[in-house]
Amino acid sequence: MNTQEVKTVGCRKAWIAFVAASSCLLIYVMACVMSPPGWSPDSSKIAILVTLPGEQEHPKEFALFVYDIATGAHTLLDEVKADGVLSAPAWSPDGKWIAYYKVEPTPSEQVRPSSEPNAALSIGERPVNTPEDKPDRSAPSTPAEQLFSEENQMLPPFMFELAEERVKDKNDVETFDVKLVIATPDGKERETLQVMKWVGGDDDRGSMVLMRPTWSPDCKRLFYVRSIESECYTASIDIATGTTYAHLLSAPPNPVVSPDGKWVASYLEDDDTLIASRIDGSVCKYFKLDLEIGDDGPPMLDFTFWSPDSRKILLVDKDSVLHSIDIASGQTEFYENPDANSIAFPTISSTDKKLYYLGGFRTDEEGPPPQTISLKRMDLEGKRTRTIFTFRMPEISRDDGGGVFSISPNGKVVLARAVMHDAFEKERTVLIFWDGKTQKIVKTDRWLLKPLYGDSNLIFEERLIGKWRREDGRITIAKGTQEKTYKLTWVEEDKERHAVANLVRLKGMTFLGVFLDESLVEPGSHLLPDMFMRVVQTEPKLTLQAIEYNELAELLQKAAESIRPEDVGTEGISEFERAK
Amino acid sequence: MVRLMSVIAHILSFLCSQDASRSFAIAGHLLPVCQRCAGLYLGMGVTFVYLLLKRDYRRDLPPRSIVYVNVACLLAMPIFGFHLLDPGPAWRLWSGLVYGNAIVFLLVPAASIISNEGRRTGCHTEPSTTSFWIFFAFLNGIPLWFPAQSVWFYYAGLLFMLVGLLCAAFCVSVVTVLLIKKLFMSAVLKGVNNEYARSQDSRL
Repeated sequence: MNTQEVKTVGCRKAWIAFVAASSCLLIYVMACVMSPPGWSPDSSKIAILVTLPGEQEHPKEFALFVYDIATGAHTLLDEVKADGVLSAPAWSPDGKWIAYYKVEPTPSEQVRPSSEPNAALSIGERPVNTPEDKPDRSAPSTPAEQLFSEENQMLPPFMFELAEERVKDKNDVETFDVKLVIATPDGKERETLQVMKWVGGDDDRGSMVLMRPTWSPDCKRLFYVRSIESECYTASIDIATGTTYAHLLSAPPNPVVSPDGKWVASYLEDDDTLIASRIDGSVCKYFKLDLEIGDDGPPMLDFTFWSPDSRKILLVDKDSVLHSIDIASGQTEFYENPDANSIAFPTISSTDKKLYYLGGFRTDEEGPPPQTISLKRMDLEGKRTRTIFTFRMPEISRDDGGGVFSISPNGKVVLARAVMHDAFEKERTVLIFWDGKTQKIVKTDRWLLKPLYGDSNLIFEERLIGKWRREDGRITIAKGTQEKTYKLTWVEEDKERHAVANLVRLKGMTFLGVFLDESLVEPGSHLLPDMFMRVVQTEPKLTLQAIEYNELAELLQKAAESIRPEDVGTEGISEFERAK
Repeated sequence: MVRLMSVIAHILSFLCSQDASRSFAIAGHLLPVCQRCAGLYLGMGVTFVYLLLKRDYRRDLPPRSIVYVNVACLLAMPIFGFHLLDPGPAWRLWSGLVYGNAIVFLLVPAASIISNEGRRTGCHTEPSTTSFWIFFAFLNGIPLWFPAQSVWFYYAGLLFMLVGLLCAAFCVSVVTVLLIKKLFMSAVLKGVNNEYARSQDSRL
C-alpha cells in the first residue's frame, strides 16, 4: 500500500469513527431531552403533615407523609420530634419535588446587636447552605446581614434597609434556624436548599405549621417567607444556583405566584393592602382594598390566587364572595352571579383552568355544622357555575374549626382533614375523600406509631373466650377469623360495637391490642392497634385496664426485664364477670 | 456569576431533561444536568484533557483493544439509558462516564485525522495503551466517591463538563467546516459536473 492509499484507508476509518461517535452523542442527547418525566401531578397522591394523636394544639412530633389514594400506601418523607416543627408541604408543579420548612429541635439562639461586630450569631455547626457558601456574595459578617441575606429586588429599595435597621436597633433578638427543604415524593432523596435565620419566639415557630413555600410554575424557583419578628418579607431561591432574592414586604402567609411566573403577590401586615411585585424587581404595585379580608377567617392567602392569564388577582373576602383586581388598572371587580357567592376553598384547576370551590360551606363557628356541601365549578370568563357533585358531611369534631378542605388539581376529588370520634369516644385525625360516588375515610394517627410488638409476641388464650358482663355493659369475646385473633362485641348504653383484637405478651404482662376496624388486622397493620387493654386477670373475673399507646411505649422502654404492676397503676380498671 | 450560571443552565436545557430529582446536588447547588448527562460530559471533559496531555489523538485511531472497550461502553448505554436497568445515581453517573470516554476516544482522533486529511504522526505504543487502562480504571472509580460536597468541586465539575461539551462541539465544527469547504471547492470552483474533481473526492 502506498502513502496515498494508507491515508485514504486511515481517513475512511476516521470518518467511520467520527460518524459513529457523533451519532452516539446525538442519539443520547435526543433520548435524554425527550425522556418523559418520572412522575406527573395527576391528583393520585397527597402530601400531608401528620401529628401524634391527641396533640392537635402543641404537637410534640411532626411527620410528612405522601399518601397514595388508590393503593392506600403512605410513605414517610421527613419527621421531627421535641421542639422541632415541620410546615405544610407544597408539591412542585411537575410533581417531582415536595417543598417544606423545617425547624430542627435545637435550642433558640441569641443574636447580639450588630454594634458588636464580632458577636457570634450561631452556635454549633454552620449550616451547609448558608449565604456564606454562595460564590457571588461576600460572607455576611454581622447578624443583620445573616438575617437579610437575600439580594434586594424590593421596591422601593429602602424598605429592605428599613427592616434591617429595625433589627440592628434591638439589643437581644431571639432567633431560630429554618430550613427550606425539598424531597422527592418517594422519600428517597432530600435536599436542604437554604438555612435561614428567623427572628421570633415559640409563637412564630408554631405558626409555621400553617405555612408552606410556593413554587414558580417552571419549578426553577421556590418562594418563601422570612419572619423578622413583626416584619416579614417574601423571598425566593433559584434552585439551580442557590441565589436568593428579596421581593416584597408581606404578611406571614404564603405568597402567590402568577401562572406566567412573572409576578408574586402578598398582603401587607394590615391585611387590606395587596402587593404585587414583578419577580425581576422592575415593578411593584400596592392595592388598597376596600374589602374585609382575614381577621378571624381562615389563612388569607389560601383564598387569593391568580387568574390563568396572570392579569388579575382573585380573592375571596370574609363573606366568601369572590372579587378580582386587575393588575394593570387596579380596578376591583365583584362577581355578582349569586351562585358564585359563598365560595370556600377555591382552586384553579390545572387541567381546564376553571375555578373549583366548595359551595354551601359555612365557616361560622356559632352556627350548626354544614350537612351538605357541593363541589362547584366556575368559568371565570363567562362567570357560569355548575355543580359537579354534592356530598354529605360525616359527624366531625368542631374543635378544629370543622376540618380543612382542599380540592384536587384536576377538580375531581374533595379532601377534608378532620377530627372524628372513634368507638371509644377518642378523637382521631382522619382524611375524608369524596369523588362524587364514594366516600373514603383514612385514619392518619396510626402513621406515626411504631409497632410495640412483633409476631413473636402474639399469643392465644382460650380462657378469654366467652360472655362477660358488668353493671353497665357486657362484652363477648370470640375466636377471630384469622389465627391468634379475637372478635370483640361489647354493648354499652344499648349501643353494640365491634372490634378485633390481638393478645400479646410484653415484658411479663399481657395486653389486648384492639383494632376498631376489622380490616386493619391484615399484613402491615396488624401490629398497630387503635388502643391497648392490659389483661390483669382472667379468672375468676376478667379484669381489663385501658392503657394509652404512649404510656405503654414508655413502660416498655423503662422496664429492663419485666413491667411491674405498680408501674402501671390502677387507673382505668374494669371488672367483668363471666355471664351464664 | 448568577447570569453566567443561568446562561449555562439555559444552554444545557437543550441537551438534557434537567430532571432535578435525578441531578446531583453539590454543597447545596444543583448541577444543571441529570446524573447520566453529568457523567457523560464529565467523562468527555476528563478524557479530552487526558488526550490533550498525552497527545495520543494525533497518532492514530485507538488500537483495537481500546476500540473494543469503547464499543462495549457505547453498547452498554442503551441498557441504562432506556432504563432497562436503573440501579441508582452512581450507576447513572458511571454509564455516562464510560459513554463520554468512548465518544471522545473515537471523536477526537477521528476529527484530528480527518482535518489533517489522513495524516497521522505515528502509531500507539505499549505504554500509551497501558496509560489508557490506568485512566479507564480511574474513570470507573469516580462513581465510588462522587460528588465531594464542596463548592469548589461543584465548579470544577461544571468546568470539566463544559470542556467536554466544547470538545465535542469543536470536533464536530472542525469536521463540518472542512466538509463544507470541500463541497464548496468541488461544487463551485471545480464545477459540479467536473469528473476529475469527483474522482479525487471519491478517493478521499
